[in-house]
Amino acid sequence: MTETNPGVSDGTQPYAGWPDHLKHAPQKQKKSSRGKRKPIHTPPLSITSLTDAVTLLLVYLLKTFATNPIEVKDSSIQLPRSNCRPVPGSGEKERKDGTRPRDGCGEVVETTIVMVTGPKVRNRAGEAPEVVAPPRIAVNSDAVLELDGATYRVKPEDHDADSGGWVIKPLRDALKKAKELKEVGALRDGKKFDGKVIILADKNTPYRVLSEVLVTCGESGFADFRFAVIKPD
Amino acid sequence: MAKKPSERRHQDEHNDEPLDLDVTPFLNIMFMLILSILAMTAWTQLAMLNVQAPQIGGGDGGGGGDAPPDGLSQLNLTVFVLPDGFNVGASGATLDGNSEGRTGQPLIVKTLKQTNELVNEAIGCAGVDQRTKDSLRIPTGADETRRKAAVAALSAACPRYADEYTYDYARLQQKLIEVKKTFPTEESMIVSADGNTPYEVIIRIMDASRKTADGNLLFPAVAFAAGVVG
Repeated sequence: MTETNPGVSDGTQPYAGWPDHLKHAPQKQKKSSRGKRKPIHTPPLSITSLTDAVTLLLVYLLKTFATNPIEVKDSSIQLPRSNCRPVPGSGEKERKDGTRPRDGCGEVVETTIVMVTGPKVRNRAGEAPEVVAPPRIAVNSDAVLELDGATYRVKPEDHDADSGGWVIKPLRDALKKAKELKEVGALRDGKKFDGKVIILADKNTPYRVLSEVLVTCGESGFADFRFAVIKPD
Repeated sequence: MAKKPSERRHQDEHNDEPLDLDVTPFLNIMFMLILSILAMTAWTQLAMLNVQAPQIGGGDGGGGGDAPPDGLSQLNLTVFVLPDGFNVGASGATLDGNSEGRTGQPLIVKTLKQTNELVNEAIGCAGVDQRTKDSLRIPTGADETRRKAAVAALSAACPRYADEYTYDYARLQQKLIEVKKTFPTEESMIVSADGNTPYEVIIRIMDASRKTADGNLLFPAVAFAAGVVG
């Protein structure tokens, strides 16, 4: 039965079905059914050691578990690295007097986020990297405007002409809305609007775009800037 | 001890299968937990750098509207980031002119990149072959033509690494330490940069100006001048 038609095996003939010895799986149960019927007995696999390993892994992961109040999920943004190592407790909540850390290097706080991404690049093996989308500016992860892909600058039509070309109009509008929301929230909590904003910018963002974003934030009432950077390991 | 045949059979059946706890569902839960924890963990740890509001119109803002919260700024220490180096100025004028560099050169000119820095860039660049990467490992001065060719190949493949020179942050920090000695109470600094300067350079300047290696504060309160220097 193992010898099948030799014409089938070379692949040029049309499919002739499975060879007979593959059609029927060997049936072991038949033998046992002849005698006294027993429940099908699977050989016991010891998974205790596996459980041990998995538990250890879980404990290790739980120990290294950490979350960020803000998350960078966009692959087109590469944050710059910094040697800023915040003193534990330099977050805003822990500092009861509300002052900043003296060296200007604090922990992450949760507040309005302005994001300046880099161009979205697709890398294929053996090909030159291909730019898929131009850099964008986003407020709280809602895209607000796209930058000019060729010059990496804000497009001229997005500038507010009255400001001498420093204020980015769509960003200002989006920030005004974000400010209104924040003010309502602050009112509910009986606090004052603090004007904090986090700038998440790609490390290749030109200084011109960065300062335009800062000026626009200031114009819209967000004057307490923080730059998000990656901590040293 | 001898047992009755019926008893013996009874016991044998029990010994056949020792009492075993079914740990499979437990294991399933473990795997799910591991997956969810892996997905939720933040692998890059972030920090925040505080900055002051920018002043429109160049580095000679003269205090502007809101003074920095810590300390009165009298000095207006400004770091200008030029395409070919740094200049350090105060109250609108450049500190000790061009005494160190040639005329028309910035105070702190760019230095050659470290070999490993170039190699790292080559690893991040897709269009560079192994031979170029090896050539980049040649120390400066050994086989200058081959090295230069490799650098040229790197900048041709990835234009953002077009420069074999890098800003000299160590010398900038030395300069700032000197300034700090003369003005110990001063804590604020203004950064004014060329429009094309990458954000990363700005962060590196803030790193250099925050603290010395032994933890003494230099000029941690950094503000930005929106004006573009020439």
